[in-house]
Amino acid sequence: MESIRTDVVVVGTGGAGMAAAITAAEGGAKVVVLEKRPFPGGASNTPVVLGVVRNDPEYRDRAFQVHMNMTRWTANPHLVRNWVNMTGELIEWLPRQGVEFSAQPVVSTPLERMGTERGFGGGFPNGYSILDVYLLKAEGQGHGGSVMIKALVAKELGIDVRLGTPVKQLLQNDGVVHGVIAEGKDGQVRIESKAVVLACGGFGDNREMVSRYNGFDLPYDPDRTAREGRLFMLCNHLKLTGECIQMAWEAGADRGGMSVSLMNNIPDPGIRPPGNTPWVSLNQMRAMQEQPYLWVNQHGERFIDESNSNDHFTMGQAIARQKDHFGTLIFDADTARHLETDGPDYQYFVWNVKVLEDIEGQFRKTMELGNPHTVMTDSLDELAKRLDIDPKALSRTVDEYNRCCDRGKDSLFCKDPKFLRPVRKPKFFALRNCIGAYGSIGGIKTNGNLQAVARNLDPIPGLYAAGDVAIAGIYGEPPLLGSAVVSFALASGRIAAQAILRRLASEHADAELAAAR
Amino acid sequence: MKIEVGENCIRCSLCVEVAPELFEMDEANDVIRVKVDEVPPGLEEKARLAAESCAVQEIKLVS
Repeated sequence: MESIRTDVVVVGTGGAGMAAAITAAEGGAKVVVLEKRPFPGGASNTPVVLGVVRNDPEYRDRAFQVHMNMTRWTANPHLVRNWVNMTGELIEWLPRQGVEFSAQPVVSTPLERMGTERGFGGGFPNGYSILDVYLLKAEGQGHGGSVMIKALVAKELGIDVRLGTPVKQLLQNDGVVHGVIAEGKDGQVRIESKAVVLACGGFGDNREMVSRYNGFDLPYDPDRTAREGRLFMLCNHLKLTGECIQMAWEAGADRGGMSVSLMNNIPDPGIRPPGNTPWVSLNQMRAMQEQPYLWVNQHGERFIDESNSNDHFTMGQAIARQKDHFGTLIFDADTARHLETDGPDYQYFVWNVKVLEDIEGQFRKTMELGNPHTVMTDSLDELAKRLDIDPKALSRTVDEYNRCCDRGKDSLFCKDPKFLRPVRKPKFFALRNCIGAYGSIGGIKTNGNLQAVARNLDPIPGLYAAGDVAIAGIYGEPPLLGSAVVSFALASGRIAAQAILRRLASEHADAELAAAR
Repeated sequence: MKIEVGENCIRCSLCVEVAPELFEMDEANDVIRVKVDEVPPGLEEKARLAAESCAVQEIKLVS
């Protein structure tokens, strides 16, 4: 067996792993990076944007307060503080690594409005406006994350990056983690190290782990079609099977708050092409799905102030709590015309459309493909029957909702009146959403320096975690949000590496002192 | 015209969506395969579209 010695072993070549590797190497450490797939990046190939707290002390303080109060201090305050402090520096660190992004943020929030507004895009709840959001430079029809990873891996720092080399075992002696055994192309390799950073990605491709740890007792259907409202994974989760998480547990690490970042989605067929590109859509159903009109559950009742309809995480959480995990957007011909002439009320940058085109035609196509979740009918009764909703219950809800529209006041859930559009004129349209997830959350509990901790919160010497496996530490329980993953990946990798460098420096100083004696 | 897929391919399968006649995802071996030795007549435009769409610009068309 090949046997080598190094200072730091990093597992995973996503944003977290590469940020840890580069930071450690820049600090003078010898680094080996192991990636089980034959190419780098993992789930970090998927993201579009980078959200950071502005690099300004007042912004950092305010962001910290907003974040901690919204998690009701269930997040780890030391980790959140380190993350918040580190994110702004990324704007200066990343260009030095050859990573490009928009010169100006596409969304930014002035200090006085932080914590008062809707956040950006899917996955940021009301009041979570603390980030400046930059668009990562992308190529072709792809997302910027993959270009970012390509730049980070190309960095010449003497880092030994080994692709196609999964970790098989953590080496541990007297509680201290001191390396790994991995399976390389030419057989097994034993790597002795002073620290191991597990930046190995989540568990979205492990059916049993997702079923057990999704936080909602939801059945998991790895087949994306999810016809019966089953949970399915949306983002780039292939081969994220969670074995390194389980190795950390065996080494004594605690689980932390594991969950999935829920979102709402219309199941196939006819919505998305096959393959692993969640940002590509076959039609404008995804753009329609964002809209804040009437939403009902399988009891025919409203279940949310629908102005949340483009907040994917909130909608996913709400739909997970409804009968059969379904939530259905309903609108009529007048609203269809409004979408076709004025354009959508909510614009999502991934499915950016000026106006919707031929809504009837789009529904006809998906219905011809047999998609039971897209329904167009001449009567509300028929619509209810096709959706398995009691027609009387739906009719009562629609009557009450229409009265709210006529009065210009939502007396039930206080929705912004500008989104109150009655449901009266045939044809009637329904988009039934079930729940999916952007990916998994957490797996390994850490302290503020990303050192893995046991159930009693004592750190496990030599073992660190970064990126998705550690992100539960900033989300809190239940998780506050399902986004900001790129910023946490990069920042957590850097924080872990800096903690390791401090430890290596003090061990080095101790050794010198001992030698001098 | 031949198609080459570079080693930084991220297996996102965009090329499979754009040109299923030319590319396929082999999940068991975790690799994107080019299905043809030579791009058949009439599919050159699709091959170009796949190369342009590639998220990491790893598809090369060799004439």
